Amino acid sequence: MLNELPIQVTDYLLNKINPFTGLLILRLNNKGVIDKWKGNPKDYLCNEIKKGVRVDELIPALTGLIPFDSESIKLTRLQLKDDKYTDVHIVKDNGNYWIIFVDQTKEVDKLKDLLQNMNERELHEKDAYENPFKNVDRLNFATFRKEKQNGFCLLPNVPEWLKKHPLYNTKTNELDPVKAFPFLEVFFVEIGNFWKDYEENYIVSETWSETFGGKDHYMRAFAVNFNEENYLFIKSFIREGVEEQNLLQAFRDSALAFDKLAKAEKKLKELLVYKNKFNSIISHDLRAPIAAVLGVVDLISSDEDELNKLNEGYRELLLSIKDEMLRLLDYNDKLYHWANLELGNFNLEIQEVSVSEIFEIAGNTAKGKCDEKNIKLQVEIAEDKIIKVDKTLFLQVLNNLLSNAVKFTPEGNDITLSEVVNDGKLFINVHDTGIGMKEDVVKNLFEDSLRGTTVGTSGEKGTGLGLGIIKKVVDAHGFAITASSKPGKGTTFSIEIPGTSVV
Amino acid sequence: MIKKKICMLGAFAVGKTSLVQRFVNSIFSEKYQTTIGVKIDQKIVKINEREINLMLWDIHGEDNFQKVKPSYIMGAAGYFIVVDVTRGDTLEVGMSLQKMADNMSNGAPYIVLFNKTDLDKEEWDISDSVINDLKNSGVNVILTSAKEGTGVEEAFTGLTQMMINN
Repeated sequence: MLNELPIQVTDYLLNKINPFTGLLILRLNNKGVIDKWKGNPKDYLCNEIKKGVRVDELIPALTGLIPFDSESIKLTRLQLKDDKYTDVHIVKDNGNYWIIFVDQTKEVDKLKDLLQNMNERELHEKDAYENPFKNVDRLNFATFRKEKQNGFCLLPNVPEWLKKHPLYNTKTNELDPVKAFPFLEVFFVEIGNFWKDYEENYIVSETWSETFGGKDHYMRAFAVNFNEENYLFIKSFIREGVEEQNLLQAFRDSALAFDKLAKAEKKLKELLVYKNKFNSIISHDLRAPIAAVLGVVDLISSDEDELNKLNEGYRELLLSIKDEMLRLLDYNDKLYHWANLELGNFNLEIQEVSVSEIFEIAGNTAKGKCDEKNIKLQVEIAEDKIIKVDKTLFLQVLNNLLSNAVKFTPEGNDITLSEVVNDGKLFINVHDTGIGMKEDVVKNLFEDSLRGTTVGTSGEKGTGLGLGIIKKVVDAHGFAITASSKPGKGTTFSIEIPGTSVV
Repeated sequence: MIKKKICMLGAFAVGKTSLVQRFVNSIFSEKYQTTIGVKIDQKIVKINEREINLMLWDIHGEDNFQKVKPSYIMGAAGYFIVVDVTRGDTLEVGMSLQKMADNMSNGAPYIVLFNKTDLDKEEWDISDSVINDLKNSGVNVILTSAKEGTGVEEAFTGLTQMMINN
């Protein structure tokens, strides 16, 4: 039924009714006969709702109301059922009447005790009549009448919180608000000539707080003109004050936390730069001594006479030293590149290169490692194209990919370096027939640039930096790289290169 | 007894309330409790054998949510500009409030309090040279810590003395 609500009724629901906790809607024809309803009538009414019956037969409180000429009628806080208070809204729409029952029981319960109390006192206590605003003390308002000869007269009844003020005279029931609340001097300036005009209206001050009677009191002052008299109200509102404070506090706590985070981030970035600079310098300076040791090992291992002086064990040791030093050099080079890439210490020197040329160089570099494991490197070029790359850096990418492919491919298997043109896009693929990777590993392959290293099929060790370098260089070119893999079947890395031309 | 109004001005969470609480009640709370509107406290001090009732207007911190109304400063005999040494932007906020306070108070004396100096110097966002430059330009500056009480008594008695001499 709610879907059928005409625009007049939905407008009324949205704009004229406060947020509600329960709702019953009836639709009547132009004679007040019930046609449809939505909601639970038992929650609001004593009688059951029946289709085809006049509404005032079931709800006597509505007798004589329908039909009416205006657009809508509102009846507030009707007790249509014991202990149940309901606001009844009747809205007219092209020959139909819509009755909306809104549960107000909770709201009434909140006010019931206060109203009961105020009414009883008004009936029994004469004092209350001395204050034209009657029992406003029950709402925590202190009332002062501004006297013609200056000064203020505190009117009864005096709210309990004001009686705790150190300047309140308990014998005479007097208190000078100007002396008691220094904040008022600011408020009185702000209201200007408001009191002199006597025009019936009011102005509210900003909040201020003071501590007395062992409590923090949040207060607001109200300047009021009423019946040719000037009044000053002061309201203490501990609870609302705290709520407002909590809200503002939450905003400010967030602002402070954000400040701290921003500072921590700045420090962290400085530390990262420092770390990368440190890595860059150390790895640069380590190159010379590593190369020197390698040079000596090379010198000895290429001298037959010297080698013959060594027994078999020492010769193997020498080869092992050479292998380890080469690995150290490779690791150091990668660390150097990686640190400089992280620092942004590189400018791409873009040049036009044919795919065939770059494949040839990369193939030659990988040949040695392939031969060691008896791996066949197949090169496939669909259509030789010109690509725009930083030749040195892009070769580093291919070298790293091929080196990885060799590492994870068992002896005697194949590796393919291919160029594929698909849907007008150029892809460079490095495919191996190696051990492959699980799906979750592939998914996060490029997210962590510093990955742990995995041992190759012949016990090869890696640096864990290779993929980080590849991603940085590919990103710097504006290319994209993806990986697909199946455990036991192999892995394919694919670089997508936009903007190419035929050689 | 003479009454003098002192305003505490500054960005939010610089420690204005903490300084007043340290001075008036000798207490300090680590918990940040934002001030709504104005909190008014009083303390009687003795300067040169004269008793003076200081009305301390602890005015809410300035930020996007709450702007300090110039009328709060009316009638002030002196004021503090409170700055958090670990938040550089609070000095800018403080100095812009000082301009407003100078207009509203007809050039009443003031002291800039660099608060939270108990925190590790590494966390300071305001350098010694900035503080010294301000001092050298003729501004009265005191380094304070509401937490440890450093400079608090000196600040309030110093400003009171300046107000009497003014």
